Amino acid sequence: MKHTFDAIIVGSGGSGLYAALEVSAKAKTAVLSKVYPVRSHTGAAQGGISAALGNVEADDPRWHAFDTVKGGDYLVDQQAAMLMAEEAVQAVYDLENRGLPFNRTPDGRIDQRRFGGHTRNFGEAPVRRACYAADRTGHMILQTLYQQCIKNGVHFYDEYQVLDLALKDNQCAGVVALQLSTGEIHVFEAKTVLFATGGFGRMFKITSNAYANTGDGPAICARRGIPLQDMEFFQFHPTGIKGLGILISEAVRGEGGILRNNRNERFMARFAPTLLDLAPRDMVSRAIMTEIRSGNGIRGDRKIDDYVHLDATHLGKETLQSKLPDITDFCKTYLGIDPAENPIPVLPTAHYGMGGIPTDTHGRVVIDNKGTLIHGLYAVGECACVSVHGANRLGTNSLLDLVVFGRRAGRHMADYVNHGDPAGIATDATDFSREWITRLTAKKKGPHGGRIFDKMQRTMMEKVGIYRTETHMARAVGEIQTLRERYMMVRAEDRRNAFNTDLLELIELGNLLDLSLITAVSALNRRESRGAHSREDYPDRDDPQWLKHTLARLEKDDVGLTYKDVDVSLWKPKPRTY
Amino acid sequence: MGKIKVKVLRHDPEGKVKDKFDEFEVSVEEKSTVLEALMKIYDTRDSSLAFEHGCRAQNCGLCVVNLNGHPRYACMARITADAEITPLKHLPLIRDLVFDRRPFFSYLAKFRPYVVREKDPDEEPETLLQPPEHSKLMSCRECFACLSSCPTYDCQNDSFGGPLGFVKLAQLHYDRRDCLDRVSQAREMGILNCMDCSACTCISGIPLNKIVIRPFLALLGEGSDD
Repeated sequence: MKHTFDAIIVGSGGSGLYAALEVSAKAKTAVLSKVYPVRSHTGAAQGGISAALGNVEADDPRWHAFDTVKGGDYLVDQQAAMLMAEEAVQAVYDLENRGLPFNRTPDGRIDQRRFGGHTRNFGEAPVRRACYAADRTGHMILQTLYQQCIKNGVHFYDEYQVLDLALKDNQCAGVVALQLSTGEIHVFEAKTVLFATGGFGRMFKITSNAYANTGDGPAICARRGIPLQDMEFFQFHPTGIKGLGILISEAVRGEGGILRNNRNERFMARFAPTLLDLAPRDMVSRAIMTEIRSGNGIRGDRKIDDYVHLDATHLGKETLQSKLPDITDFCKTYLGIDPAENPIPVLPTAHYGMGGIPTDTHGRVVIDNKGTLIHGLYAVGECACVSVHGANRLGTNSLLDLVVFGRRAGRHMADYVNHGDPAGIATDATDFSREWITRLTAKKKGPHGGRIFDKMQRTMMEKVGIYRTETHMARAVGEIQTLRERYMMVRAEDRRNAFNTDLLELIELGNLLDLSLITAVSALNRRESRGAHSREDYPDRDDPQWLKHTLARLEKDDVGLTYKDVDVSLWKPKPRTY
Repeated sequence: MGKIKVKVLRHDPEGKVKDKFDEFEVSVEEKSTVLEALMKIYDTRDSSLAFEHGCRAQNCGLCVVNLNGHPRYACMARITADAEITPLKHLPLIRDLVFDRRPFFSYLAKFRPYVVREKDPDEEPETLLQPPEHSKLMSCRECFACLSSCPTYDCQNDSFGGPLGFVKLAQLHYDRRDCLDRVSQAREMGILNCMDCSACTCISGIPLNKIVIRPFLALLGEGSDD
């Protein structure tokens, strides 16, 4: 079936819905999403959205921009970070006016709380910058934006899995998608397409990500010859529930929670004397792994699955209940403990990809160092790389990224729609998708995808995880290449059309394998340590050689690398201490 | 905990087979959740089992099922021996435990389910305090469990919007910025046919009867607002 729109948004998380909201004011817009709206992973963002409102103490967008740049270990494009910090204030007011129920101060203004890496006056001390709606900020943002999209008459195609992007020369023509409830392939012709497909944390064994976070947008772009930027930078959040990876929000530390080792020591005092437990996530995750390796984990056996404690017992039942209600539920369900009475066993969990589809500050996809565009193609949110997060994202900056750049991209698309002619979708647009599905559902014997999935996740976790070395990463590249070969033979056991989860998972596996390869090759080649990319064989940041963005192109079974300048026009890179 | 038996209701729209229970033997641990058991069945026994799941942390509301007849989030509910897992009731089934949410949202769209203001707000946010009911209602995950537990709701009957419909109206009713008459809409949605039986349950803990059903009925001159 073929559908024609002015604008297609792929993904119904915060950035997709915000863009849809803006573009639908001027153009016929459809949102395709593999999950129902309001169920996207934005909804899991508990902590907040940062903006220098200065409601509870003095703050300044320049401080916010600087924190973002330093937090990203200077791989951030600085003018983009400044723009984000400046537009943050209006973005939060905008959300408020659209109906978001932010928590309030006793005098009725938007309340703010502390989060890691956010400081006053260029690093002096933590600042209260995160606006929040209980520990359901992301969920509330989705609710608010979805309501507004309905108001604007956006067409929603729920539970459609995007399979391919149609390009004509350097112009976007539309997308191809699979309707999950029927198994039917649909063509969506549009002058402009925006990918807002979110993260790809499921390439790792232990992750905070939802099952749907399989990097569909970036993988599709990579297969269509678009390079992916800075994929070697993947953030591990310090506080996942041990063994499961389910996230315990940084808000617990924002409200005063403390990390402790087996001597009950507040070990972050040794790693980040000023910010302590509220240092940026990459540093805290490394500190935890260093403690475990030194035998200071709770068991003290130096094994990789040893853990540390997140102590929130001193916060009291009342604070936990009013400000962090979900955390208590998780701890009771998954650990059988009450965080008001016992410390929480935690370990770092794969959380957020800083890299993705390279874009400018309007969300337009830019494919090289010279600013060459794919006309009509946009990307925002976690699947994109502007780059405002550089080598490590600060907490609460992801919701901000969604809102600021979702809004900017939507507005730009609305203008774009009114200029020039559509590319027109080719008659063979569905060929690639049909061949793929036919292969996966062919009545032949083939290996089951589950084992390949598991092996990929373990390889990435063990060899391209928090600490990295040449030997391990080189092995990972070989293993992923082998898995990609085996993937060509894989077959779905379930051959029904309606809601075939077996087939869906194989499609997702294909996407994750491509992204794993790109990630591993990008990481192997970057011979320095910066932000979340931490190499034991190259422990220092090397600005003369490596102050540059990676652009990685998928070339069949290999990955070709080029590099792109970083904008350091505002602050000169300095050593990063907290 | 070791090996347990779990029954799952199967629904196949393409085959000619009637709905039936399949029994699976799975090994689980003491703290295993219903979702972990379903994943294990999918991974090791039957990859044609269709069920939805998302965040694993009670945020997305996707994995809701009836566990021994009661709606639960599969990601947060513990699995027990001889558990019986069925899809939510009163909703159009797609396959196995997966149901279609779309018809409800198409129905809801008729009620302008968004904040409608008398005039556009200023750029700066107003100093605004919403009533406590508002933030409670905004934590609704739209998981549809309340519709499954309501004896009056039926997805094929447009004259009764069900508890979820009333919650969506109540969210706007308590929002100080909204200017539409959501109480009259609740009547249009058939709230007067609510038996006020308190059977509707909210997994997220929204007191449906207290802050949604009773207040609407009282404002329509039915029942007492105690």
